[in-house]
Amino acid sequence: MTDHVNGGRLDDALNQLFDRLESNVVAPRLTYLSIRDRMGEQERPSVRAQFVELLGSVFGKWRFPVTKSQIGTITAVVSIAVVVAVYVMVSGSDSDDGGVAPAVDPTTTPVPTTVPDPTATTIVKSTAIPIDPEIAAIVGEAKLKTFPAALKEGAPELSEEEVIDLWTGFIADTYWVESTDYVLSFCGAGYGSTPIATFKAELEHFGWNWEVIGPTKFPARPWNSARVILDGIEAPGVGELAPPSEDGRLSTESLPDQPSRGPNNPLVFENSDCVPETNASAEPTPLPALPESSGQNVREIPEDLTNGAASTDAWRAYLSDGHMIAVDFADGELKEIDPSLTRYLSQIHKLTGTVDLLLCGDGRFHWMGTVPVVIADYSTRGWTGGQDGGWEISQTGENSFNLQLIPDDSRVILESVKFPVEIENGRFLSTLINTGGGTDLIFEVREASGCP
Amino acid sequence: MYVEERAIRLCQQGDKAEFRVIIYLHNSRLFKRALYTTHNPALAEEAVQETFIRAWKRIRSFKPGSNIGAWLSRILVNYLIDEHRKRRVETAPLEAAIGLSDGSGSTESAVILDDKLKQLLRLIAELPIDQRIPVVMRYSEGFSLAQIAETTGWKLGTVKSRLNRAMKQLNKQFQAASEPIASSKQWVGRKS
Repeated sequence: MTDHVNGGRLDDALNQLFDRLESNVVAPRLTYLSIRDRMGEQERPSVRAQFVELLGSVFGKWRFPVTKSQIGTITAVVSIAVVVAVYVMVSGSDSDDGGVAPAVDPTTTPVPTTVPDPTATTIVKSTAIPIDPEIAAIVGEAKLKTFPAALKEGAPELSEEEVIDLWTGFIADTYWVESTDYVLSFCGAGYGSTPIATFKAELEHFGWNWEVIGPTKFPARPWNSARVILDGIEAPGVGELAPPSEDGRLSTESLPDQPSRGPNNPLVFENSDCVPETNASAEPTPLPALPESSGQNVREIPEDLTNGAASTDAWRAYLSDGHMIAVDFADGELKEIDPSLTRYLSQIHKLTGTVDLLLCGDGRFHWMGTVPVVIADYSTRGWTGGQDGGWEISQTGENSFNLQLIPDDSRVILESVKFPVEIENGRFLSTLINTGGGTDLIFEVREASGCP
Repeated sequence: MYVEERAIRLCQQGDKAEFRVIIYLHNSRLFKRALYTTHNPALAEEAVQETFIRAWKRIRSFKPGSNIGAWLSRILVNYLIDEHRKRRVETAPLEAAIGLSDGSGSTESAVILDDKLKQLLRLIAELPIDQRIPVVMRYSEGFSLAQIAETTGWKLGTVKSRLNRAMKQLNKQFQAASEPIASSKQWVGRKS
């Protein structure tokens, strides 16, 4: 378009300029939490706006001048529209919400609710695989649920909203799902088997519940393209589920613009016969051997630092002793991280036990004592996600700190694993870089001795 | 994008927390557009925050199925123009804000631009804001004229004329700025 103005030279220069800027300029992270208090109440669309929209929807495709017959039609339609508008105004004045209903997608239509072999779909509390008590403590008691009859084949058609609600209620807090079809169980993170779904669906992971957010239909197979969204956010690079392989194993599939994910990626879904990696009596999963190129990350924590009496200066000296890994998470992209470390972390499915919290705020390290925390599943997923789920190093504000996690196994100092936390109501809220502010991983600080 | 549609729907029903999805998906793009338009990082950040706050308040007016990116952009553009009129916000030296470098520095994160591109950046900053906006959209995001019109809410003819004026101005000054550099190089060559 601009060539006629200036020839290609300026065009080229402008393209070059913005290309350079685009690849280097990083937007500051704006979190929901940071603006939440200013968001205030929603405004309701004015009656006038609705009326205009109504007219727009009627005349949107018309262009003046119009024919006489069109004028007649317009006149008639305007008359109807005026009547409707008056009705809206009158009825709106009496309603609680000002007569303005939340916008609803007018395209929503009832969808068939075909499910794979519903008669064989049952929900049972698994006795075959012991439930890791730590996980049970998080997800709550396993619940025995009855498969909704309304979702079974032959049931009357439901609207998409109804289908979603039913599936959501069905999946939420469910610990074990069995069916003759694929049972997607989350085995890769050390859980006994956390069910996900037995059908094609888009799933959303809020906290420890899986929520179905968008099935429009439930074909029996192939099982594919279920998108898992971490912590409420569609993180870039979060894998899509590939169709199951012959052995029933389901794995994530990289998005087209994302680097390939290995088979050890925590986002691995297996069918129901997957072997639990941990149970209450099992030994913690040993950490895999570090690749040689990440040897600098293996370091013992001196005892004098872990006895709770270490000075701030001692910790600062330790942490600044050339062992910090240069990690720069910016705008969802992981930069300057040793890829071998990423691979290494990708093999850690679960870290349990005592984790020492070290908070550094205002440029100072504060020894916060020992806090029992389970780092599992999506923590490691966050670390291993590479571009999609890294933790961010950030000082986010007055009540924001960099949180450093040191796993119980002191062979490994995950100094690269930092992420911002914000304090809200006395709780530390972690913030995944991809969430734009989240409340997903909550660390209860039970002891804060030593904090100035 | 189903996630976005769902988030919008929930936001329209008053689910404030769901708005973080909208923020996450659009923050970066809006910030960059604001930054390239204002050349003022602080104002850009403020503009984006204000855009999201306004968007939240008005989200019930958003028509599902429409392009929320364009809708947010329009809020942003209106804000930027309003602020410019109200405060006559001066563009800041963007070079400093984003760590521009001529390539000789050692800062890894610096944006390396040669003199020509730096000059162009300054020329863009000198454009009236209503001309700067279409230039940024056109070249930073590759928008078509129709997309710019949709995003800004301006008429297509308005977009064309503003972009045309901007490009003429840029071309004129860009050529003028480039000539002395060429002459200087030639003179140095002869001297040696």
